[in-house]
Amino acid sequence: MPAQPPIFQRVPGASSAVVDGDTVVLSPTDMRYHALNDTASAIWDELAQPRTLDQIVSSLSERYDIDPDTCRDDVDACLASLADVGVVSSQPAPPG
Amino acid sequence: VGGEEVVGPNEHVEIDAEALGGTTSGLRPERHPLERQRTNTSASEEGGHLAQRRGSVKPTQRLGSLPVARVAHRRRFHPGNLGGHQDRCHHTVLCGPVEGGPRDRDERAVGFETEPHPDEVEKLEGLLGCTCWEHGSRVRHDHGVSDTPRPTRVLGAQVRYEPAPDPPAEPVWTHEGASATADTVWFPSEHFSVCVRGTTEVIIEELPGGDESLIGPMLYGWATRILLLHAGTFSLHGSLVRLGDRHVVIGGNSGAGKSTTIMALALGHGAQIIVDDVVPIRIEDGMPIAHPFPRPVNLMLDTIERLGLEVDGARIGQGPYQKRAVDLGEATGPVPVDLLVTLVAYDPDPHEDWPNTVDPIEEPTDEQPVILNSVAGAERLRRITRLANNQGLAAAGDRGQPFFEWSTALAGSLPTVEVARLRRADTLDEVCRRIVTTAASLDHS
Repeated sequence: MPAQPPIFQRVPGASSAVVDGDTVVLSPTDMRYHALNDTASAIWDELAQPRTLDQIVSSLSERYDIDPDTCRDDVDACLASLADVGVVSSQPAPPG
Repeated sequence: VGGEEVVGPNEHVEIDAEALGGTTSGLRPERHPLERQRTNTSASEEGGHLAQRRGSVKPTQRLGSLPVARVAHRRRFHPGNLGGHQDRCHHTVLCGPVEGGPRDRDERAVGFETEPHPDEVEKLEGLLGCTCWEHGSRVRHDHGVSDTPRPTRVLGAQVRYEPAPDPPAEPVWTHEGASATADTVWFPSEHFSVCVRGTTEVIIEELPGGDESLIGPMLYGWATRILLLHAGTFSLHGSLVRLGDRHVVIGGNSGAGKSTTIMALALGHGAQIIVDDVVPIRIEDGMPIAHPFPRPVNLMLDTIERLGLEVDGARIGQGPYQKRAVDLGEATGPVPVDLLVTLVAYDPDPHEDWPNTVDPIEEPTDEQPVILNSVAGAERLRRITRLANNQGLAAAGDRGQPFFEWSTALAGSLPTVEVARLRRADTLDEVCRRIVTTAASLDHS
């Protein structure tokens, strides 16, 4: 059976707010604020519900004029950044 | 210690605007749903409209527009200094009997205004019930200091002058010797150690050689902010004035010129000063509402002279940076906040006592000594957290989440401009003019 792709989600306690058009996220581990650029903000919105990388890429590719490979690279890098600052985590998909 | 700040500046909560940069190569911004027109305005656009809303709360009381010379010259010897802790005596001792001056609990004179006669020394020792007179250097140091009123209550909390308890073993916040648990804060200075417990108690332990004239500013500044935090109310480090039908917070670090500016606005532009240095703000129905409290304005002596004031209030601090307290009387009721002005005093060649602590959006020059810029989005939030977070204390422990909600709500609802000026006296008039013009330009819709 092929490995299930990980599911990305917002870390519990990672609050966000839109301030005058800018999305700002609170990292619950160190209480630092992080202002998201437009790409990160769009991905953060996608993560209102847990998503796989493919689901995020598929959704953004439909909304933006971008080829899927480039979009995947961008989303992958952004998810890594969001995980680094402690506002996004991933977990294995449930079996089945 | 500059009178207002007991603990040095630092930032605990900050916005890392660059942390997630560099990931926009694939998404074309022209199709992005969050693409928007930025609302920044340049100095030349200061007369333009800033998005603005009307609050539903109206002021319930007005103050006079010229709050000067309302403080009588007061000499007090605080009863808390009599008896008690003989082994840590820091009594203020004046020289020579003062007719009608301070008295102890038994109504005996304890103050002196000239060099004391040895008999008076003996008498004083007997009155105080301790050997404080042996602290010769302390006595000389304190000549004239006791004209400072020593509050016994601040924001409803009792102020006690006694040895401070030991700081906690496991604090939730520390900064340069200060520390805090969920409901108690300890902070030291070279003048005194302070412990603020909950919302009801402030303990001040004076230290040998300390300047007791700094107690008042500390109580009305740091201690007040902490008491507010313990009561669940966040505040901005700034001063609130009423300009026409607008309420404007003049914010900025210590030394930015807040008090000087609000006095100049009062004297030259009819502003009403509502509260200085600490502006408690709550978000009510999505709107920022200030909840003023009574406290004096503390002005540098050269500012008093420059503004032509006659002030006979309590002296604060020593040497060239000493201030005088100007009483504002009773506080107004809650008022909506319409505009935040962040003052930045910039010096291309800064004096070591007044370093540039904030980088302005645009550096003022000799050709353009005062520059106004609108502050929007995450940058506005960054400015607000700087003015509100008290070196990380406001967001410490369990307050992190509520502070985030408060600061983002405030940043999302409060039009903000930065006024950067060269740190020199002749920029004051232009700073005031810019603030008045900006407040008048706010959209009334």
